[in-house]
Amino acid sequence: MRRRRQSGALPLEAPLVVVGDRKSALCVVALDDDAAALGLVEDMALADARARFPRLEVAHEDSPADTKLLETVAEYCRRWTPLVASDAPDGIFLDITGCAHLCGGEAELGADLRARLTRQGFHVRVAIASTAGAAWALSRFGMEAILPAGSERRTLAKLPLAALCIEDETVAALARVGLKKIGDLYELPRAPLAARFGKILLDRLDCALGLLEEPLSPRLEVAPYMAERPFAEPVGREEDVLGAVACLAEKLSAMLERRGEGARRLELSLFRADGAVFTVTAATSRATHNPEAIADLFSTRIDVLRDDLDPGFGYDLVRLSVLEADRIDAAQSDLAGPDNAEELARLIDHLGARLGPSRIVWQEVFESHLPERAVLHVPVGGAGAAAWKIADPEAPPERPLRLLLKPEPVEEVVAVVPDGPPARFRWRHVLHEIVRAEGPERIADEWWRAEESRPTRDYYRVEDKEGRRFWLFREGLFGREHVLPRWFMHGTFA
Amino acid sequence: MPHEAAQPAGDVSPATDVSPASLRLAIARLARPAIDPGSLPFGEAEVDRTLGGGLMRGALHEVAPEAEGDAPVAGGFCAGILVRALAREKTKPILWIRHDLATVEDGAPYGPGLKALGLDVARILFVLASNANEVLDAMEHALRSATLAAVFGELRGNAKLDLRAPRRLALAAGHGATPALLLRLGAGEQLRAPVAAATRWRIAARASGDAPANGVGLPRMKADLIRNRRGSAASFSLEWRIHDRTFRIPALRERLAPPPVGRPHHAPAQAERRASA
Repeated sequence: MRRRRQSGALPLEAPLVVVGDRKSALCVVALDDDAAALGLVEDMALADARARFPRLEVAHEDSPADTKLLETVAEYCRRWTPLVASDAPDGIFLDITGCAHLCGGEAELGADLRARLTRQGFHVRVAIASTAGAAWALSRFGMEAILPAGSERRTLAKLPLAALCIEDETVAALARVGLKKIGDLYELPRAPLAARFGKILLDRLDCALGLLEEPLSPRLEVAPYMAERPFAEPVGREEDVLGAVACLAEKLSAMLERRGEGARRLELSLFRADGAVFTVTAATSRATHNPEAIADLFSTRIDVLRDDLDPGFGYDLVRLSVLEADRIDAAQSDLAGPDNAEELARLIDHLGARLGPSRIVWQEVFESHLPERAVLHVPVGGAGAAAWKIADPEAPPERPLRLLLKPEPVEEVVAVVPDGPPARFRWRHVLHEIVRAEGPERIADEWWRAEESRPTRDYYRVEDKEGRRFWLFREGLFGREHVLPRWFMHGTFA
Repeated sequence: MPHEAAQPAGDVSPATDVSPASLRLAIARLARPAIDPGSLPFGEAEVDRTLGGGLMRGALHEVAPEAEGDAPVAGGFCAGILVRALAREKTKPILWIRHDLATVEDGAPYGPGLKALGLDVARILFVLASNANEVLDAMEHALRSATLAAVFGELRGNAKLDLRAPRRLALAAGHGATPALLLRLGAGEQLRAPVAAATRWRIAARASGDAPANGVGLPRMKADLIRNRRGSAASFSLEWRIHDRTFRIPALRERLAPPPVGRPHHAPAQAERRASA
């Protein structure tokens, strides 16, 4: 497939060339039909082109944008096959093995692809062959064709050596010894060829002829389960899309159930009629093949993403794929108990789809001296909570109900004895007179964490005249770590 | 099986029968609401009587601190209710919906502290919501699922709530039998707005109970029941008893400052600090 840059923003009266830096000169890297008709060619210096036709419209190449565009087109091509590999800078491989019949055959698929991409303003060259190498060669150097299996050798023989996708230097070196066409290599002894031009030349040749397997690296992993629904008439209403999703969820559910698996990660692709593709992913906290749960998940996601999903003139293909599946365990061991687990998981998934999966958390409690390190928020699906030992389960709480995100400095602290609890302090502009206090509880830094050494903290539990209870600490030891210790508020008790 | 047979006090219709005996009965019922065995009791007889058996399950209950400084103790009140809700269910967890603003202002719920109050952290599922609508929305969805022991949402700020949101919440709560608790911090004037809550509480901190050496004792609070669908408004002084996981009205004797005799042996060293007590 060949693509020419096109930009609607540029006036099209003048022939357009796109230039880029090549060998420290500005060279033409792409040109439109008008420019080609004037006899301009690729790789010609811009200065030469300008000298011949001063009225040239010149645009500078933008490789990142090109790559992005190619990726978008490749994404769009996933409507024909899940195995799509982009071949920068300007090609896309589609492995249509076993997919062609869905479009009515290879010829129809090719025509469909050409029609859809041409409509979007791309210049497309389509070639279908049994090997990726042959298709590459044909689409770039030959004619657009569907090559019947087994005829590679004969067809490729007439093509120039550059069609093997080898380096320009190699092509030039081969030309010097009189080898111009691929067919010239067929009858030559292989060992001297490999010795002189490198093994890569023979490998490329073998790949193109199908003697050597050439793996494609697809852009995305192929989903283990997939269901899709094309629409003859594009649909734009959210209800219709959700209806389609529900249908597809049913299909997937049957497939999953047969294999005793459940979906953990799903992807919904909405192919808009004009080529844009929206993908919406959702994860479940627990493998499920319940179609309602799956449909529910996406209705929530779509609800949240409504602003980003612009249906435009509607979607003509909706695809639901399972990216990650897991065995469904008969026995669920969880806090919710067996009867409850399924529904709880659904609730968690729903909230996760709405707020983001990382926003649903368990709190894990550790034995750590440093109060900040004693808890960890684990997203649901992580491990269970560890234990924090409570010295005396009947005593008044030793730890606050809420811990401030960062200890806040406390001002105007008055203490009766220098290393005793405060008698009065000001926190957040409010003066608190302390009537009860307990402490200190000395919490030294975890010395095994060497990265930073913190001063020792003496924690006090205090209660003021109004009955409000606080957890505050004095940082540093008198005379040793700090000249004047500072006080910090760290939490509040019920 | 909780049965919903208990008659709400308001159901007495004097139009059908106006004999003195029936009126007396009606008055008696109004004065002393029927006990609903399906509700979530506080464990303190006086409170439960006022509430007609306890907090209605399948209803919204709103809690707010009396002053800004009472926010922690209002949280403690909610934590106590959650402990009691968990105790009734063997396996169901609590959904605790945190508002990011509350986390920034008041700090994050602290596992060891929750445990110290008797709350099993392993059975709390936290949801982090970035705005008030997300909090209410998550609560609503959670209430529609019957898999939770309780749904607790905290909201901070005096942003005006969409009037329909709390109403939808109350409807969602009525849908099942999950108690819904909404803690409103820093709501200020907004709390005057009518809300479809079954009860509304205003909590203030009170000096804690007895503890040796002038230490800090069990959490105590003043709980004003300012709206009660099943009875009259009331005010209670409550203490959260960690060991038996109930709220108790502390005995009058304990409300006074303890006399400075019979101190443990290590107390004299701290005697000077007691001067203000």
